[in-house]
Amino acid sequence: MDLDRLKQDVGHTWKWLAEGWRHISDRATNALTYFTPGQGEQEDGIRWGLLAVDVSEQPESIRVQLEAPGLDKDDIDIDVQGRQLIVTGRKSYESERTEGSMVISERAFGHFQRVVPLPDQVTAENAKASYRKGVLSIELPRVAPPESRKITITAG
Amino acid sequence: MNDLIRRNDAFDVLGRFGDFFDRDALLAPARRTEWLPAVDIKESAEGFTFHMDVPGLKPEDLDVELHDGVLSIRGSRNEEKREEDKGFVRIERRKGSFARQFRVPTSCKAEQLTANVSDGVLTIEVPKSDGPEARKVTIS
Repeated sequence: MDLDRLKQDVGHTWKWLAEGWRHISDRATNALTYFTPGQGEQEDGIRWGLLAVDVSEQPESIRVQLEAPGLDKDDIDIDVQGRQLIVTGRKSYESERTEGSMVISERAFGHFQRVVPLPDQVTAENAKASYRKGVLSIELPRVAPPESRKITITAG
Repeated sequence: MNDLIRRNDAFDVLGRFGDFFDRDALLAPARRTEWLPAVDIKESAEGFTFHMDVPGLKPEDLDVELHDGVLSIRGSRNEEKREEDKGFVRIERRKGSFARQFRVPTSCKAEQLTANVSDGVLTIEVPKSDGPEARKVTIS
């Protein structure tokens, strides 16, 4: 077989794989969240979970919707630091504890922190949050731009 | 020995490795299911308990069916008014439908199955029936 042809094929395959990987990591890197096991949580359980988020710009606010099923709303903490929204929480294993042995385990439990970059400056004051059907919805009012002050230049 | 086996499951990569060079076979499951919710399954003397993460889904968006020892869980997330809700700067939440199937003992009866969804977690209880296993056969 022609060596150049082989090289070309290998090159194409590699590009195809690299492109696919870049696509996957673009989509998932942020949603992929590490869960730190708490007391009573399986140390050897799944440690990574997907906490997918949608962010949309509204005229007066930034709207964030985070998928975090199976939480107690009292275990969720929301914080704004600069242009970042930081959501910390705990998915408790005890709440679902039932008798029996685990056959398949894909869901992660424990403490997590998800940092969401925001497209604008917001204020935590007057922010609204609700937790419904395992989706956390947060409405963050934009910070009004400082009023421009006119400076009159006087002739000397 | 476990009698619970996953079927048609996109996570079952090893099982499909043989088909790696058959691109159609590799892509077929992906076409059927647009996202794959994570599941935990527990087995006890009484039966099987399924916990599946389905954030944002209402009971009417979900379909649970037990037929011939195959438990099928299907769901779909509708475009939540995305048209009127423009201005997205980040979209990670998966839209569309999913389907996962699991094999359970054929003695499990569909009428004994219970399912409910709360805080985005679907819980299904599949009790083991005392049916065929408990039936004693007298040898003459």
